[in-house]
This record gives sequence, C-alpha cells and structure tokens, in this order.
Amino acid sequence: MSTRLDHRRQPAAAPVRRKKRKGQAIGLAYISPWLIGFLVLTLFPFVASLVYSFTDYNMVGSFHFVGLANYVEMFTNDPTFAQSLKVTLLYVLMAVPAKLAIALLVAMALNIKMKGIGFYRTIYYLPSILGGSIAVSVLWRFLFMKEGLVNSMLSSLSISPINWLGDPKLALFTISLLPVWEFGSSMVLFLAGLKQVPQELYEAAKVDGAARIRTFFHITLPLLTPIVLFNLIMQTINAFQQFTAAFVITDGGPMKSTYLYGLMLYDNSFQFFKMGYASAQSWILFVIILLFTLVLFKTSNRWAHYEDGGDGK
Amino acid sequence: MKLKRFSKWAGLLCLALTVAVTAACSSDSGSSGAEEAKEEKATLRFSWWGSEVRHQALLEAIDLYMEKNPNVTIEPEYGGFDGYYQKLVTQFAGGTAPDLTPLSVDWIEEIAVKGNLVLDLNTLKDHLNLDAFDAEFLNDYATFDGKLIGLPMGANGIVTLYNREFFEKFGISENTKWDWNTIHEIGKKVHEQDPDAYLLGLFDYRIFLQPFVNQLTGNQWINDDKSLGFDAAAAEKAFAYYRQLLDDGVIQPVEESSLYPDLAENLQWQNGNIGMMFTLASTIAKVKSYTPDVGVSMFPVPADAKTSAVLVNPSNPLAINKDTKYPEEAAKFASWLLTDPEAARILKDVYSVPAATANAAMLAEEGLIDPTVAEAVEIALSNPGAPVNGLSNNNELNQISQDILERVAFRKLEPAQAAEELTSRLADKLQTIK
Repeated sequence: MSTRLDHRRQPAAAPVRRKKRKGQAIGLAYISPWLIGFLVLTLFPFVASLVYSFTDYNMVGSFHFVGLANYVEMFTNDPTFAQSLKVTLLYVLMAVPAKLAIALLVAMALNIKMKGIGFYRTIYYLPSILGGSIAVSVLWRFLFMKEGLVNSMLSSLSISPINWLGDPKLALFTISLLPVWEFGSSMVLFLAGLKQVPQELYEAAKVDGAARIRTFFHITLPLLTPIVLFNLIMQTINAFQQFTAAFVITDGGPMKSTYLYGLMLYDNSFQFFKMGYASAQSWILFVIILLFTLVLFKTSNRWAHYEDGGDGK
Repeated sequence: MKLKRFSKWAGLLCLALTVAVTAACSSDSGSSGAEEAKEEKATLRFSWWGSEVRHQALLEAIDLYMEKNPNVTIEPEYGGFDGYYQKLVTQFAGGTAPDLTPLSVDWIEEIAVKGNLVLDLNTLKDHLNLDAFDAEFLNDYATFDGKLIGLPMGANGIVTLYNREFFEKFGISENTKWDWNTIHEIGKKVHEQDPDAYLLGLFDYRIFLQPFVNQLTGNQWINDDKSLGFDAAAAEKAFAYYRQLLDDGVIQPVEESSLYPDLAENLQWQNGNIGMMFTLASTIAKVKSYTPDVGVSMFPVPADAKTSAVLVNPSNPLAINKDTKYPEEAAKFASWLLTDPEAARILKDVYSVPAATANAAMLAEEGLIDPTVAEAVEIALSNPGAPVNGLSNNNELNQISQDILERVAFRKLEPAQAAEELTSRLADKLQTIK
C-alpha cells in the first residue's frame, strides 16, 4: 500500500510535502493545549511518581533511592494498607453493580415514547453533574446521620433509627449508596443501547407469547452486554479511585471501616508527607485496576455478545 | 515517513516543553541580594488561615503598617484552615511559599526542624523586639534545636471548658477540682440521673491518651531518642479507664460521637446534653458561638501526677520563609504586628491572648479580650506541662494511637491487647522514622 502511495506522490513531492508539513503544524498547534496539558500534567507526574516510588521523597527535604523498600513495607508491615485494600474491594463490589442496575432500570423507564420525555431524561441526568461534589457528600452526611432525614422518615414508619454512619458494619454500605445516585452517564449509554435493539425481536417474542421478564433476559440484556461491559469497566475504574465521599462523610472512620484507597493515598502523601511511599501505593493501585480491567476484558468473550461476532467484520 | 515527521515535531515540542518546565521549576537563586532589596520597594507575601474576624483584623493591621512604611508592600493571602498545610508544603516544595506564615504547632517538626525551611529569628535579633516576650516562653515553646522558629502570635493552652447550664442542672459545682476520679464519679451520676446526658464527648489521643499517660510517667509521650516514653502497663491503665468511662455512660457512646471529631459541632453538645470538654483556649470563641454560657477550669491533673501534662503552646508562631528576599523587612513587620500596642489593639484576641506580656495586660485592662479566653490562658499557664517535643506531635505516630483508641472504644480491643499493640506498633514505626 505504501509503495502505491509513494509512487503517486513522487511527481509533485516537494510542494505537497511542504503543504502537508504546514497542515501538520496547524494541526499540532490546534491540539497543543491538550498536548501540553498531557505532557506536563499527566505524563510528567506519571513518570515522576514512578521514580519517586523508589525513593523516600517527603516534599521538604532531599530524597534518597531506597530500592523496593516502599513496596516491601506496604505488603509486609502496614496493617492500614491491607485494611484499606479490603475496604476498597468491598466498596467496588457494592457500588458498581448497584449503580449499573439502577442506571439500567432508569434507562428502561425512560425508553418510552411520551411527550416531554426529553425533559425527564435531562432531570435524571442532573445528579451526575452534582454527584462527585463536596456539597452532595455533605448533604449525604446530613441525610444519614443519626438525627438525619432518613432516620426521621423511618421513625414515621415506626422503624427505630439506624446508625448509618456511626456503625462500622454499616458505614461503608451507606457510603457506597452515594455513587449509585450518579447513574447518569451509564444511563445515557444504556438508553442509547436500548434504542439499538431491533423492534422485530420484541415483536417476534410477543407473537411467541414470551413474558416481559423473559424478553428482558433473553433479548434486551444479551444485546446490551457490550454496553454493560463498557460501563462495568469505566465504573470499576472510577470506584477504585473514589475519595470525596469517604473523606467528607466519615473521614475513613469509624474504625477505618470506610478507609478507601484514595483516602490512604491522601493521608500518606499530604498528612504524613511520605510522597515516595504514596507514589508506590498509587502504582499498586494502577496495577490492581489494570488487572481488573484485563480480567473483565478476557472474561467478556464468554458473556458479551456482539451482533457482528465481536471482531468488527 | 509520516511517523518520522511527526516524531520530529513531537521531539521538538517535547524539547521546548522540557526547557520551559525546567526554567519554571528552577527556583530563583536569590542572587539579587540584600543590597538591592534596600533600594527597591520590598514586597512581602503574608499568608494565614482563620475566621472572618481574624482576616479583618489582620487586613486592618497590614494597611496601617503600609501607611507607616511606604517602602513596604504586604500582599495578604488568606483563607480557611482546611488544606492550608497541604498547600503550604506544596508551595515550599515548589519554591513559591509566602514570605511570612503562621505555623500550627504540629507542623513545626516537619517544616521548621526536619525541613529547615524557615529562618532562625535569632539571626535577625536586631530587627525584632524580642524583649516584649517572656524569654522563658520563647525558649520553651518557640525554640527548637536552638533555633527561634517564629514569633508566637498568642499564648494558648488546654483547659476544661464546661456548659454552665448543664452544671446547674446536675448540681455540679463550678469549683470542682477535676481529676480522672472525679470525672468518673460525677459523670456516672449524671448519666444515672438522665440517660440522655453525658458529662463528656469523644476523647482523642491528644486530649486524653497522651496527657493521661504522661501524668503517670512524667515523660514525653515519645522521647527524643526515639524510644517510647511509657510502657504497656501505663497505656493499659489509660485504655481501661477509657473503657470504664464508656461503660458507665460518662462519655457519649462512640457510635454517636465518631462523626464529630470537633465536639463543638456535635449536635448533642449544642443541645446541651454534654457537659464539658477539654479544649484549647484558641477554640473558645468557636464553642461560644454555639454555647454562649461557658466557664473554664484547670485540665484534670491527679494529685500524684508526675507532670501536669497541661498542653501549652504558642498559638501559631509566625515564621519567615528561608528563601525570602527581604528577611529584614519581614522581621520588622512580624515584630511590629506582634509587639506594637497599636497592632495589638487591632488584633485583640484573634490569636488568643497576645504573647507580648505588656500588650496582654493592656488589652485585658481595656476589656478588649474575651474574659473566658483570658481566664483560660491564665489557668493553663499557671501549671504548664513540659513543652511537647516534635516526635510526640508526629502525625503518623499519632494516627496509630488514635486508631487503637478508637478500636478500644468500639470494643474491638481489650485494654491489655490495645496496650500491647500500641507499644509494638509505635516502636516499629519509630524505627522507620529518620
């Protein structure tokens, strides 16, 4: 292919090349804000943190290379690392499926032809815009505190107050309810997916007398699996990095029961100034997320169905 | 071919960026020197955190100073306490820290001692009115490793603060001389009288564990030689006592209080269901905004205590950045702000009671200081414990103590186990601290 192109280009090579070069320069100039941002704000810190992870850098003094000491320390001599890893895994297991289920449910509810449905779709997307903010976390704290609104509602149903955030057994569950509320972006994707499902299939199922639940599990869900996979991966990555909710609502407590990985990183870097150690922990988090993503991709062959067979043909 | 050309471009861009970043990152070598500084107009960046009242007072003082010293421009940078330390350390790391900033006591170890990022004010003696301060106070609370790391902006100390209404309701005398036994006895009675009432809120390592153990041992929590200042037996006593208070309803159940690290914000305190707290004089103004009618008395000290362990410290020594271009001007301003009577009248008690003794007396006389705050500082300074050393203020070590104390409160650890774990984990961690 390249020979053919070269052959065609040869007669007027010089002016074309100049023109192309100019075009590329303009193109690069246009994307330079992103490029500079990527190099300075992403690539540089990325590489720097890898280097720091082998040092005892503490932000204020000079630092020394310590080899693998940071990595050895976290796996052999740091009980908070193990605790935080456990809490984070539990959090991911609770928050991600719950969020996807709600997103799908809402998407199905909004996938109807009705006057003003656009308005409702916008309304249901709103929480996602507010979702990760400090303000919503503070609101969550007030809703779920012992004297909060949730308990007053329960008490009007004669249910005795539940200590949502003060009980170490319940606090993580309460925190993992917060992202469920931010289902918007997953919902939009599900909605787009639902619109792609060929109506003939539903009609055929109807003619065959299939019940709605059966239709859902045998037509809708299988056809949505590529979108489920995408949402699952994105939300899992997000959930592993959660910070705000735990920081604002419980500050990792009670008894470290909501001490998410992000919070531990924050403590090590900005409370104890163990930047080297925190960098090493970030890289472990990166590897964990990478492994989870790879496993999801690998296993998806068995459960994600593509109409075209999955190889794009 | 396309790829080649692209990589050439990308390479050039990378190079340009690297040069730009290196240029931006390399800090000012400061070669401009002091001579030049004298001639040109000095600009000082002064950064602080605090409440609106404090901001207003400092801004007013800055204006007055600039009026009197037209060659000096002071740029104020102020905000809340949240994130201040993180920002400050990042600024120090990036070479953009302000010329003047107050330091919280628990940062001194990192910034002034280990980091060596601020000037030793003894080197600027000629520009400072050090005589205005009590020499012993400066030596005990603002001098570390022989270096005067800042000028104390105020005197601060821990006291027992109580809700007068609560004391009246339960017939507790305001003159009670508190020790750990009286707390248990009276607190138990209070809770028996009213199951919703508790004498105390949540304890943490700083207001309970460290002082309780120090009173038993007479040592620092962690000795300067990186050994523990206590043994497992002393820690076990503290944990057992704490558990007893929780079991007998002297302290609000931890399941309810753990959401409020700051007792002043605890709804039960605000509703008048909690009777007293141990707190620093500098926080009294905030507590009073929720509970106006409060009194203060001495922190609990048992008769046989080997040290009072009453925490006393300068509320935020004002430090000067080592890299400042104008050390002398910065020193002159800091000295004026904290010793000049006119400045004192503007600042009043925004940093607790002034550490400059003559100013403190003057403000008290003129009624410009909140009497509760003045009384609190006087009480704390009347029986101060030894100044807390850097290692006993180490955040990471204290986090370990706090975690274990919390697990005792949640009944996940028995006092003996807790004491064992505390001593072994602290000893482990101390080995890794340089």
